Amino acid sequence: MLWYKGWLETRFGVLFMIAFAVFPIALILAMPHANPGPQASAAQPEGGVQFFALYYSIVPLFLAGSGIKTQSAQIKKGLHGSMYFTLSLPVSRFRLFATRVALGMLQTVVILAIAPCTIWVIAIRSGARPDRQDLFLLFAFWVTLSVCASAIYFLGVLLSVFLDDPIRGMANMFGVVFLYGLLSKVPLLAPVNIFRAMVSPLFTRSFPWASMGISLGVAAVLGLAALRMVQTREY
Amino acid sequence: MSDWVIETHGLRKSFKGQPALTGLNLEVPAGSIFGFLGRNGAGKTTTIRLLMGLLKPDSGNALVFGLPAGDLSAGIEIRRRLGFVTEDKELYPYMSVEQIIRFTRSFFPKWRVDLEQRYLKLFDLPPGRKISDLSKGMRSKLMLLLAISHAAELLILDEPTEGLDPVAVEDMLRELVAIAANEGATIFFSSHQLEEVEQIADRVCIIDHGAAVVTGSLDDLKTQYQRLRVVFGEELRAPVQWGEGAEHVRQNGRTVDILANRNVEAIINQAQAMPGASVERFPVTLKEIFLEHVRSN
Repeated sequence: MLWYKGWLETRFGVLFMIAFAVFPIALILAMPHANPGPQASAAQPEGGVQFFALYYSIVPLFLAGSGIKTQSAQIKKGLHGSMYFTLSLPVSRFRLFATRVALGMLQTVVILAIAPCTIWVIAIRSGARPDRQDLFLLFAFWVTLSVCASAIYFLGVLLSVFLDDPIRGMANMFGVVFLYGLLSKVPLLAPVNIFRAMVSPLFTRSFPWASMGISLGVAAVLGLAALRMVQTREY
Repeated sequence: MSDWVIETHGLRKSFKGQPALTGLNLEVPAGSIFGFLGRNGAGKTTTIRLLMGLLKPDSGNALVFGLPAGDLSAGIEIRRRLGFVTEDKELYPYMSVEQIIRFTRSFFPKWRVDLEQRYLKLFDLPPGRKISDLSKGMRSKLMLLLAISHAAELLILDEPTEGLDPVAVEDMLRELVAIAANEGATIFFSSHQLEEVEQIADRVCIIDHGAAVVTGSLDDLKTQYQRLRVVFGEELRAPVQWGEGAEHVRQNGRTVDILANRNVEAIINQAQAMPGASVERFPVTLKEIFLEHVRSN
């Protein structure tokens, strides 16, 4: 039933994120059709697609949660008061945390599937005829995007342990934009630029294993830190 | 196995250097209705949060059912056997009454559908109504229903009647007594409403500045505590040194009010031995005991 509670808690956020993720497709379909031709396609800067990755990085941030809300910075009376009821249930804090984190990650991965669909729509609108290999590329893009997004997701999870949702949302957004700027501008950090890695299968036609590994490592560290805080924290 | 459902020994807790509990000793016997009294900030809610394992003590220990309250795995067993009504009465606003009952039921294998149905009807709770649309009083009732229906051995209630109208308060108090009598549950409740505590509690603890200042059976306290009024023929020039047991003495002109908690007869004899003094003896209410201790502290 913790899944059910998690779903009821996040369902409007999920709907909002679906609308957010579908928005580029709607925008593309609403624009007058123009065939840009092969030259325009070749000139498509990688940086532009990276921005596309940044756009979809909002999804994991928005859906992250730790299962136990804090009352410390209560914005609206009653918003997080139910935390004491949650903690009075005969379940471990680990289970509360794990259920909510798994649900949010699942929702993130599902919604991120809209990103390759957007690429697909762009390709079709550009007059391309995607073949089987392109489908695999899109699949690789989705997997890479999801794995790299896990680092951002667990940053959101960690912040949700001690920040209330509205504050966390803003802190996350600024954090990710700052990270994007930092990774894009500092050449030394280029190898760990997860935003570039997210879209790299579309250009390199292979998985960025190193970046994916780093993302999973960062996600694991952030997740374990969040779990440790949940288990030792006083409420 | 201890006879105490709740035991705390020298419990201390501070927040940012401010002491909230300063060595609380508490013993709550099984099957009792235990009133936990104190002013705002006296340490009631901190104690309850420590018992629920939400806080860790700086020193001392808290046992519930003989299990350490702060221990993560023991905490699950403790919470399985107790029902908790929080101070703010907040539940998930996005669930309906029916949904939260179904949700809570899933965690308790011994859930009593008969009690659930009984209290749904008694508290007049509409199953389809969203919790966000319920008044605080209705949420109090719903929380109590959730706490009772899983056949809890111990109910910890933080200000359970807050926000209820007088009729609902009476209903709830009656039900609490019935739960203790019929289900054998121990009820530990904090309250500001001294009349309510006096109405149903069989044991009380008054907490002030983080420590218990009075604790015991309500009947014993009422027998033990006596108010004496000594009226002298003329105004006293110097304060009288009263014998042991004269806990609080207030002198006003020719009249001296004494709250005695032991050696009452000796104090009466001492007063009667004074020239021109007459002594009257009054029974004390819980409110008087409370006010005397809290004010003097």
